[in-house]
Amino acid sequence: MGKRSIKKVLVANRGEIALRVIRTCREMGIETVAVYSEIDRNMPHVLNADEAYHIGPPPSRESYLLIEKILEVAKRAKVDAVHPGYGFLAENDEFAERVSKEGLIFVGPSADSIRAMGDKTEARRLVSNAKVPVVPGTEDSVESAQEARSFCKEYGYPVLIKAVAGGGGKGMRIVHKPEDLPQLFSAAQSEARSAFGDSRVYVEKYLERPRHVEFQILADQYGNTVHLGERECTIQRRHQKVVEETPSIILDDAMRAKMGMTAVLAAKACNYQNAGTIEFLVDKDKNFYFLEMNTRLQVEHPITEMRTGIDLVAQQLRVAMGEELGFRQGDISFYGHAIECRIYAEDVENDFLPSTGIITHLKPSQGLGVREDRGVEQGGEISVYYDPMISKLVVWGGTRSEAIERMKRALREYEILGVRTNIPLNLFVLQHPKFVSGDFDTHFLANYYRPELLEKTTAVGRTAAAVVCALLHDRALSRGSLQQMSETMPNSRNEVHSMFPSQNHVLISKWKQQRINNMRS
Amino acid sequence: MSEYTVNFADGQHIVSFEQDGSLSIDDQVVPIEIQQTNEHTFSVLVNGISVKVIAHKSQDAYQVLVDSVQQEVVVESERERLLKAYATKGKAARHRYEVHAPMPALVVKVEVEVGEEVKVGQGLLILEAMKMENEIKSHQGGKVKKILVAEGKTVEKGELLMSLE
Repeated sequence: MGKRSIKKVLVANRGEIALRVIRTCREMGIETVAVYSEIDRNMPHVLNADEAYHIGPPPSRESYLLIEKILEVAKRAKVDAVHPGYGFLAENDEFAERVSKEGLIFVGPSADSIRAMGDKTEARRLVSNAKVPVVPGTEDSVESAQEARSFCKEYGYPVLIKAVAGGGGKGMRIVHKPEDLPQLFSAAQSEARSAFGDSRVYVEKYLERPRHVEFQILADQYGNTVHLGERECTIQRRHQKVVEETPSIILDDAMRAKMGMTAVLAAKACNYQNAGTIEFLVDKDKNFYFLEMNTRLQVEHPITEMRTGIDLVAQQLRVAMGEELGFRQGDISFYGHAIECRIYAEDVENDFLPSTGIITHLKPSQGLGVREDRGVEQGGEISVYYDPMISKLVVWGGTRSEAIERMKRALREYEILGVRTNIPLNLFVLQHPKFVSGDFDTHFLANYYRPELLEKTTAVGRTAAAVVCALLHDRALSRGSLQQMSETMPNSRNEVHSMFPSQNHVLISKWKQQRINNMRS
Repeated sequence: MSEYTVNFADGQHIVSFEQDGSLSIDDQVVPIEIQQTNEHTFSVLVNGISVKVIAHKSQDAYQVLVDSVQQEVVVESERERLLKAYATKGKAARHRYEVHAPMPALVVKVEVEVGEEVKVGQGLLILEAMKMENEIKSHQGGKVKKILVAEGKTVEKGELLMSLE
């Protein structure tokens, strides 16, 4: 304990979060070390770090999840601290412990806190002892569907099967009918095993029409624990958050204060230090229940930063250095409204299948109140090995409606090709009357989303697209025939190319020229 | 004149470039001006209405982004269309349905057996990609003819997984 300075940080992550951490480190004059798997050599987190080291082949189990490898790099690069980002090793207590044992600072909570909150059944026990309300559920993990049945009988369906080591909706299944229990139970177990290496699951009562509201916590080692307000994360698909906003439209000041205080109690129950998030479920009568604590920086943390002006990564680093929080609860002010849309590489018209491939064109939105956190650029690949999130588009507005309008504008401005994205789905959400009025629950997408409801191309847009494609095809065909020609007549190659400057020319008159060439060949 | 059939998922248009430099779509002359502003970006003015089209060629189709909608567009010249019509002529349409991997993935579970009758919407197999399990459902009823993959195998995008009759 006590104060220690951090001059060099290893960022044990990839993609947008690694870049996010590197940016703040730069601003604080802290040197950064990136690690990368074979296919991430050209990724922005490598390009923007002060140093970068290869740690293995693409599968995360053989690279980003290898504690030994990462510690080896930490020692070799002589860092003072390790920032885990989110995902990968961020909530791995063994990793936090090993980092500390090497005499390095783990930028996050203690291994004990991670352990306590990482075991979801243990966490529920811990916070309910601190008088924090929890959703009714089995006290321990259950081994079989048979064993789960007695709980289901007592509390009634629907129930939720959740991974004890869970997070991010992985290894989670809702069961509505007793006959579905065996199949969904084993599906949850197998997904839990592959996502966390731990197949244990437990059962919880599933709340009707729940909303998901979480509170950002910051805590230092001197016993100061504050909350930075809530994030409304109700818009989800298969338990994956899609749109997040702050403030939540359902909270008034009194409820916010009460939930915030409860969140602080829950964090204190595990002696929490650093940044963390307390997730609550809120039922239709506005009762709230502790769901879990995420002992790391959250994907959606930027909306809190936009609304409070507080850089959460900077706070994480300061707390890790043993500094006292520079503010108390009463000092934190909130401004306006912030929304985040996660841009995933998936096909929203085709069962949300992941869409992999090279991003062939990318031009993100800009302008007033727009922030984009992204860890891949044009030419980069969305591979099967990692999370399909391409980018986090974040906007700030003076009011909720201003923020919604701004987000719609930013989504429409976003240019991306090469992989399919869920931008049309985000637009669907932001324009839906139920979203606009604030009357939604976690079933919003399941209840309202249908691919045929997505915005269509306008008639004039379709005309324009048809003509552009016809022209490109015309050009491709004449290129093809010209290529054949130049193969037989190597000397003509230069001449051929000069006839087809690819930039800034009026294409419309080109077809004539191409026709002549076609005739020649 | 050169004429192209432009196929969208939900319909097609005929684009013709006329001798006199004008352009018509579905036999209607449209006043249109196009500039390519960078590698994939086209500024199209249709009667003064400004449309931004992002497009590039992928294997057999064009990827297009317009009005924040991504589409796959297949374009055929007259010659290509005739060739295709000729090539497919005589081939009796067999009632066979092939299931291909929509993405590179790990086969977690095969849910049917050879010879099994499946219904539309029935789960055929479970693939894991990007840490999520996705169930591949049958778009068509029929009998499982062949299964080419086994549990635990990794498959490439487009790989044939099974066929139904």
